[in-house]
Amino acid sequence: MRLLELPTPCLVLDRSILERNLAVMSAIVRRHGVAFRPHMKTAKSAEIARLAVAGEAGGIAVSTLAEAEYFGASGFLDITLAVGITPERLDRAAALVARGMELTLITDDPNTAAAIAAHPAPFRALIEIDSGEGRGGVNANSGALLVLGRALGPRLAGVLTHGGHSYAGRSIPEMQRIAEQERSAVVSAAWALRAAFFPCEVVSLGSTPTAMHARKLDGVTEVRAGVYMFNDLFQAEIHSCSRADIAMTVLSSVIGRRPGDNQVLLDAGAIALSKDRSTQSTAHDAGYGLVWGLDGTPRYSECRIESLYQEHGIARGNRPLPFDELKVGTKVRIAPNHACLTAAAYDRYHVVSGTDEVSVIWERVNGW
Amino acid sequence: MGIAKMLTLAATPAVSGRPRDEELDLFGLTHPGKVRSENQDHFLLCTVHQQMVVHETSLPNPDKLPLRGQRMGTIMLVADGVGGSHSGGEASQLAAETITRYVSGTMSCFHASGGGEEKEFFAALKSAAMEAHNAVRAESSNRPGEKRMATTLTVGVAVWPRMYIVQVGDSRCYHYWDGKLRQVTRDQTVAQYLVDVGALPPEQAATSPFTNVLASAIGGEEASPEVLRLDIAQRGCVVLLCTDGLTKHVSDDEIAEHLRTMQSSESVSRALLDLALDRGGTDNITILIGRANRADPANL
Repeated sequence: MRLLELPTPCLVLDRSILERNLAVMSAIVRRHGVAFRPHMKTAKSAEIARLAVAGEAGGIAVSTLAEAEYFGASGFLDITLAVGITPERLDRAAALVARGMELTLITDDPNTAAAIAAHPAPFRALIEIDSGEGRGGVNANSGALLVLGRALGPRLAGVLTHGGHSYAGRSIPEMQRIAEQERSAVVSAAWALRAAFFPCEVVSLGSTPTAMHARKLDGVTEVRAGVYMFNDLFQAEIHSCSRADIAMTVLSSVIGRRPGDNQVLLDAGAIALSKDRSTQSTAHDAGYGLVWGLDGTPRYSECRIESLYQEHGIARGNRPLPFDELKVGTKVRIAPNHACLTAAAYDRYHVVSGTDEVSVIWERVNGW
Repeated sequence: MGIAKMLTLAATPAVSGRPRDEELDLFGLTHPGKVRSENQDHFLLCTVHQQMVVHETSLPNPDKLPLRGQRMGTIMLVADGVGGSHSGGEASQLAAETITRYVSGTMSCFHASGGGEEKEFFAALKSAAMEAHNAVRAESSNRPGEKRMATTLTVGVAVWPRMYIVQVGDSRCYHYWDGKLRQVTRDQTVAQYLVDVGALPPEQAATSPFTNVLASAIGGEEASPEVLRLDIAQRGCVVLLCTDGLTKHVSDDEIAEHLRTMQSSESVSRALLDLALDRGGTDNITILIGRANRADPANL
C-alpha cells in the first residue's frame, strides 16, 4: 500500500527516523552509565516499545493505567506509572500486579502513600519530587519528603522527578542548567531519605530536553524520556532534535485552494492536529504545523497552518505555493508542533521507511 | 580588517631534509567575526630555540655571535573559549599559557633525546593538557556564581620530522599533501560521539543539535585529551589549525582548493578569513598555517 492510497487524515511514521531517534537517545544515556526507561506516553504502541527497549533493561514508563494494561498484555512486566495515582484506582492497578507485573507507582500525597502501603498488592512506590516545574511533587528539602517516606513504609523504592520546566528553555546552555537543576533536586531528595534510613534504590529523572543535554547524571539510576522517539517542531525549536528528525507526520489531503491568498485548505483540522501552539513562543512560529511534501520533506518552503477548524486547516505559504501541483486531492504531510497531542487522535500508525510504501500498520492505545 | 595578532617568518625555497628556520612559512590570525562582540579565541605560533645569553664579554661585536640556535621545534596552538561574559576568552588564554609553558620545557627534553622517548612525550603532552584543564577548573572555582570557564585546545608540536597533536574539543588540525586534505583531529563533540557509536549517520551530524556541543573541553565537565602523531617529513606539506568559526562557513573542499593554489600561508589565511566573513562570520575565527617550502629545482 502506498501513502497516496490512504484515507486522510491519518498518521504516518517513518521507521528509519524513529530508529535513528531511538539510537541517539540510547547512546546519549549510555554515555552517563545510567539505565534508560523509555516513556511510552507519546508512542503508546507495543511495537515501538519493543524497538525502544532493545538493548536496555526492559522497563518502560507509562502515563495512564490504560497504557499499563495494554503494555502488560503485550508482555511488558516492569512498568512505572509516572503520573500520580488516586487511592480508588489502586485495585485496578493491583490486577496488573496479580498478573505478574512489577508496577511502580508515584505519589506526592501522604494519604495516597498510606493507601499504597495499606493495599495488599506489593506495589513499589516512588516519591515525586518537584525539581522546578511546579507541577507535581514535593520539594527535595521539605519535611513532606520524610512524611511520605514513613507513609509508604516498605513500599518505598525511591524518588522520581520530571524536569518539565526545560520546555521553557530556548538554548542548549539553558537546557544544561535545567538538567543540572533536575538532577540536583532528585539526588538531594535521595540523600535526604537515605540520611533518615529510608531505602532509596531508584533515583529517576527525565524529560527529552534534559535527557539530551544533561552534562552529568551522578547519583541518578535511571532516565526517562518519551517524545524523543518521534520529535516534533517544538522539540526542534528547543534543540532536542532537528526538523529532519521528526518521525511522525499527519497525512492530509488538499480539499480547497485560494491561489489569490496563497492558501490551501486541508482536511486536517483541530481534531487531526490538536490546537497546540507551543512553537508560538519560539524563534520559528510554525502555526499549527508545517505542510511538507508527500516525501516528508519541506518542499513548500515554510507553509504554515494558520487557522484551524474542527475538520479544516488553512495553510499559507511564505513563498508562492505551486498550485499546479497542489490540486484538490493532493496529499501532503504535516509536521506537528507537539507529537504527543497530535497522535492522541489516532489509533494506528502507517509505517514507512524513507519511501511512500506503507510496510506495516502499528496499533496504538488511547484513553485512560 | 580586525586582525588581532599575526606572526610571519620569511619563506625561501630550499632543498629537502630538515627545513631550516628561514624555510618555514608560518602565519596565524584571529578575528572576532561579524556577530560576536568579543574575540574569545587565542592562538600561538612560535618556534622554540636554544639561546645563548651574553652577560659580559670583551669581544668587540657580541651581536655577531650566533646567540640563537636553530629551532628545536615549532608550536601551533588554537584555543576557542566558551562561556558567558569574558570567561571564555580568559579560559582560552589561561589554557594556552599553561600548556605552552609545560610543552616548551618537555620539548627540550624530547629534542635532547633525539626523539627516542616518544612514548613518554605522548604521556607528557597528555599531562600538559590536563595541567591546562586543572588550571582552568581552579580559576573557575574561584569565581562562584559565574558560568564555568572552558575552552577547546588544539596544539601541534612539531619536532621534525613529526608533529604531535594534542586535541581537546572541536577546533581542528588539517594536513594537506599531494592534493589531499585530511582532518587529522577528531571533533570531540556529542554529535561526533553519536556518529562514532553508530547512532547517527555521518551526514546527519552537521544538522544535529549536538554538532557544537562539546563532549570534552579544557575546564569542562570532562576533558579527554587525545594525542596524535603526524608525519610532516614531506617538503611542501601544509598543516592548518583553526577554530570552528572557519569550518562553520568554509567546507573542507574549499580549504583544500585554497591550499592547492597557495602562494603563502598569509595569503591563504587571509583568503579563508574573508570567505568565512563573507558568509556571515557568526563566530570568532582563528586560522594558523605552517609549511616548509618545497625545494626550488632551479636552486638545486
